[in-house]
Amino acid sequence: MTGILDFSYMIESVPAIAKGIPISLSIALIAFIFGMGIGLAGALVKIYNIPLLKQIFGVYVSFIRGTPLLVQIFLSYYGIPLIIRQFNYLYGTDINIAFIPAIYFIYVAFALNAGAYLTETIRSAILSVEKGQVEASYSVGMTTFQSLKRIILPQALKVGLPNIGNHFIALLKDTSLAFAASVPEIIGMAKIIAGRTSQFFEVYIVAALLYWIICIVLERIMNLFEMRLRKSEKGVRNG
Amino acid sequence: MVKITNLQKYFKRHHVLKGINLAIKEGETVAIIGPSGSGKSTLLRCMNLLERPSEGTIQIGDTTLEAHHIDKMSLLQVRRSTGMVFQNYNLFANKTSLENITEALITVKKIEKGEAEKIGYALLNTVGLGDKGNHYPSGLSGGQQQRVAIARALALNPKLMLFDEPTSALDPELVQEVLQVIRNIANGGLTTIIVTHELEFARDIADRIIFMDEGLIIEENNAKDFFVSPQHPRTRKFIEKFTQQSLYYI
Ligand SMILES: Nc1ncnc2c1ncn2[C@@H]1O[C@H](COP(=O)(O)OP(=O)(O)OP(=O)(O)O)[C@@H](O)[C@H]1O
Ligand SMILES: [Mg+2]
Repeated sequence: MTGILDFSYMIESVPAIAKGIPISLSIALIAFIFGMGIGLAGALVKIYNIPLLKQIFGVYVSFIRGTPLLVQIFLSYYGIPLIIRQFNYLYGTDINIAFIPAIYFIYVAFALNAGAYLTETIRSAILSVEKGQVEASYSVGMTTFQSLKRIILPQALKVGLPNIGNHFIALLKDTSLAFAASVPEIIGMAKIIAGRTSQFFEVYIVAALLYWIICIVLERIMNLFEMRLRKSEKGVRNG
Repeated sequence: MVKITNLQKYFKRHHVLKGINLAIKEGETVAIIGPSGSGKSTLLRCMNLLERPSEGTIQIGDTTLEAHHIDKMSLLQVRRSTGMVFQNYNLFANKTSLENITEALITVKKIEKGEAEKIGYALLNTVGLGDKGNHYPSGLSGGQQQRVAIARALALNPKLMLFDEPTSALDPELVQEVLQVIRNIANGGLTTIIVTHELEFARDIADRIIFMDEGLIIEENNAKDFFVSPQHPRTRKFIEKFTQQSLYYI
């Protein structure tokens, strides 16, 4: 072998590492979907100043933002089984912890993490919608919910989309931490393969390239979305 | 049509409306004038409950609202029977002019879309914008936006129209087109309350002028006598200031 890189080994290892891609994507996607739900709820709770829930969300967001994701993964991975055990004990249920795949704990940790960050993003996107438009919607007799659904959220989404998209990409990159709970995502697979041959450098370069390609594709998709949204609501509608 | 009794409004400890009593007959056009900060907007906003009154009662049509017991149903009922036009138009930026008008017809009145669009186009025609249904607010001039906003306010067939300085944000050359639309509405017999700094316009279209200062109605009179023989010194000072300003312009 000459040079510092074994190219043919790198190419050979691509399919095996790529097996982690669906898992990485699934973590990002599921965390994102639930995170959006949590984030929307959190944003509304803050904006409409709902007592008690507002304080709960405040502590939650502060905690997530103030602790490393890796620690949150560990808390979820070791903590949820304890909670389930306690639940079994209290309510006489029989949920078998051993049968719950580790990836579920990862979903929980990532969804809670994404939810906290998205709370702030969605909140500022909603607040960016002119107050006057909200008042106008009330003045024609719309309810708070109708106003939110028809006037506020569609505009907030447009404003927030670039930031929300960036969150998703960041989330995807963060899924590399899931290996800590032995989940076979991209890095998890890379570690397994590299462990067999000890060619760590090559394997991690392949992993890095895979992340890079996925992120470029995602960015493209985001840009398309944004352009679509921006093209509408300018000047005249066609047709 | 409208009867307001001892209406008071506090913002925290700031006493903004200090006991407004006002009765307006069906079909009447009332102009409210007064210095900045006197509570004109707040009065109008209390009438359709964009602000919560702190004290007093407001009766609009068949609905009576008592400051301390406003339930959600009568709140919506009042808003659905009053049309509000704002200084800054406040059109829904994500909707075309037509959709701005049909929005409440579809979501609030549950009218079917095709029917709503018919009403929408008819209203666009009355404000002279029949060809602009597909335009988004960003593609319209200020005067056009305000006319769409007026059409939107008319869509629910309100019994009462409220205008809060509808021409103050407009370039001078766009003021007349909007005033003309308002004139048509007022002359058409719809009960109208307009807060305005266009004193000449107020004198032209209003049956009655109300002068507010520091949260109180200081003086009210029919439009002719109000300007010819204002009774209260503050009213006189206010009118003088305005006529002087317009003299400068001439
Ligand atoms: N949401 C609010 N919170 C606190 N104070 C307010 C609020 N809205 C109005 N005010 C205060 O109430 C007073 C009356 O305001 P309002 O807007 O009713 O006056 P106005 O007569 O409409 O004045 P202008 O001619 O400038 O529009 C002002 O001192 C204003 O600062
Ligand atoms: Mg005002």
